[in-house]
Amino acid sequence: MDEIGRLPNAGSGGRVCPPELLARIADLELVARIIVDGLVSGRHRSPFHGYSAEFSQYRHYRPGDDLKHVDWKLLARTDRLYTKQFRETTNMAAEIVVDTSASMAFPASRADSGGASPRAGGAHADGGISKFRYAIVAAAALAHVIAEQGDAIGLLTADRFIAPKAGRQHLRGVLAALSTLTSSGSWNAAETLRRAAERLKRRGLMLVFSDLYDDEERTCAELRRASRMGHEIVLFQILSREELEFPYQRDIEIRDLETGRTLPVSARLARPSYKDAVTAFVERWRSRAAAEGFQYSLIVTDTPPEHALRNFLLRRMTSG
Amino acid sequence: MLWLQPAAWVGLVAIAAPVLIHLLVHRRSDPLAFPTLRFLRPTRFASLRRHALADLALLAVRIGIILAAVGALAAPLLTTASRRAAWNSRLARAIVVDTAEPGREERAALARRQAADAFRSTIIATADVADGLHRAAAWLGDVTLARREIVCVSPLAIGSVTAADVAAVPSDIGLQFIQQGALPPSRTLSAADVLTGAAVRGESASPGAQLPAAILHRTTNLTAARTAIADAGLDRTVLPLEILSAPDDRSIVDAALTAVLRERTWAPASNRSAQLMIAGAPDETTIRAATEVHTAWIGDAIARVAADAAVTSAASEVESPAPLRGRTAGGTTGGSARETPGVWHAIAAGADGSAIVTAAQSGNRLLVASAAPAAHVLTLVLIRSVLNALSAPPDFRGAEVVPIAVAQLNSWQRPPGFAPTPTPHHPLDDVNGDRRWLWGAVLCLIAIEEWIRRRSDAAAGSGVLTAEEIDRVA
Repeated sequence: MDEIGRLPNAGSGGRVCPPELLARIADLELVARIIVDGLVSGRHRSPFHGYSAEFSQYRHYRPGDDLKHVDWKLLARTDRLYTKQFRETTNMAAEIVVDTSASMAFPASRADSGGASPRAGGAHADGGISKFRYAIVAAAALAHVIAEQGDAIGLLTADRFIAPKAGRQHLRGVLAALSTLTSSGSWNAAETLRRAAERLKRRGLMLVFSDLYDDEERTCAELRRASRMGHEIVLFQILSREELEFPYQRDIEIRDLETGRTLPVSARLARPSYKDAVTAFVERWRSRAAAEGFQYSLIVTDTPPEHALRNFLLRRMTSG
Repeated sequence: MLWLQPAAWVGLVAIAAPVLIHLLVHRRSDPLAFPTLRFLRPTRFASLRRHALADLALLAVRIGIILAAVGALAAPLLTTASRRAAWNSRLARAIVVDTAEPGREERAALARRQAADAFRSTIIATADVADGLHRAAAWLGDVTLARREIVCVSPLAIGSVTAADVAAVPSDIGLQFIQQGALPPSRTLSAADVLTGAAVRGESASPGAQLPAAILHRTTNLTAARTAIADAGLDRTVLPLEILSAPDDRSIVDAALTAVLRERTWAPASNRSAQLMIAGAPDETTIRAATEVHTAWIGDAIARVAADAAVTSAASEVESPAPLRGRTAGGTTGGSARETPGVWHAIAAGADGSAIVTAAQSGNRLLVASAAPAAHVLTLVLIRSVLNALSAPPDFRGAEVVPIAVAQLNSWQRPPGFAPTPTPHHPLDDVNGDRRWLWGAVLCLIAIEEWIRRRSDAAAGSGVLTAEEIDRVA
């Protein structure tokens, strides 16, 4: 399975902050900065491109200019190198979409596992981090990266919307909103994605953090629609190791975090078919993303967020 | 239904074991909150099995196994009419055989024939038929599942069995007396000596002095209904009775003693003696010496005097008794003669119901005090009774040559009653109860339990769900 959590560190060489430690730091801005600082060594140029396509003027080429901005036709006519300059009328607009359904609260602490509602966004009792907390941390880090480039960043959840804007002050607002999110109930992925696509005024970037357990066809249809509207789609499918490997041994009463339905399961007997089904599910999303041109990343919550995001950014830069 | 070992029901506490096992298994289910159930295919779930009917059946079967096993250990016994009829058709017999000669062999042969006819039997050979009756009743007390009977084979001389012996046998045990063997025509016994006053005549006695006495050897001859007694020999001895009386009453007392010795009494052992204190005697020293009775033969002697009907009768005729003085252990004087607290025992009462005769121990002697006047017939009767009480009278029952009347024996005989109901206290060495059926049930239930478990395990291994389980999952 090609998942980010299992990729090598891609030559980062720096110290990484383990997920469980990040889960204990309440200040989300601090967490985002820690992660972003860890990404600096692998970040040479912006992985995000603005769409300020309005031509301004020519100027003589200077060593170091990006060759893609050299006007090759003018070179043919005049035998001189000129670099095209554009007037940036707008910045890139990125919209962070976070799945706030109760399924993201997994792994829950043991104290919560038998209760009615798991602690939203809390750390796992064994020192791990819930998918929701991981998504919040990763989203905050990416928001930080995007904002540092001067691009606009926004936030959309099932019941909250912050329009994309640039600036540090706005970033703090986004981070504050992220830190107050909780995971509960279910969410309508298709509806939320449709709203996100429609609220991006111009072509933008949709960063989706979810376990993608919702209706696959409808969710994919909305993502396709957003892509056709000109938005770039980045999917972060966040899963825990337990969800991938189902490591339980005994008979367990499994309760669905979203529906509350319970299912008595003999873990030993159920594991093989479960793992097959999960593998197929992940592969379906991977192939769909490849077919539709979405950028897809599977992130496992036992991976340090720096590693996950660095690999994502490197792949994005290398893919041009 | 009877339970021959009801204590085995204590084993029912073992039922808690399978119940606890099921409860503990139930607790093994761990709850787990999980993001989604969409990838979990229904399998045969252990927790479902716990709630499924099969598991309840398994629990029921296991409880049934324990119930049946405990029931088998408790030894049930169904008392059906046919069983009772079978038990009543059998006869357990205890045969008491008199070992006295003549006719010993004939009686033994008859006893063996009687035993051969019985379902269970025992032969008790004894020279004491009454004791044999008690032993036979005790043996039959442990016999159940049959009617019970005692057969007594003996010449059955008078005294060998009494009505009291017969009454001691439980009423549902039959009694049969077979007079077998002849009694000897006569029997001569020389078992006891008698005391007489052979030297009284011609000798003067000063007040308080011991009268001369002698011992005669008595021979008793029993011939049919006739008894002949012959006393022979004359050994002088010391009179074992000292009589204290007022000096004026001395002659009366001596006359009474002389009359008693002339009639003769049973001779006591050489170390036994008594003091008789008649009303009006100087008694201070004697009373001071009185103590509680602590010697066995003195206690027996007091009981014999008290049981003497002649003493009781004579005492009841005394209307104006003199006061008895000083009966406390400390020897204090005073008080009414008819108050007998402390060391003194009342033996006979006068006409007014107060004590006329009391007794105590004085040193190693029996001390008897009488409140009757010396001239009263009670003095005479009391002297004879005290002398006879110093030793046990000889028992001539074993020497009797006259058989018990047939009419008497017929009135004692009775048929055996119904077979008694078995109880846990009566061991059944010939019937094992109905526990074999319950043991069979245990084996069947074990087989069923094994079948249910294998079926359940097989279904769990295949992952196939029952319709009930599928409904639950849905």
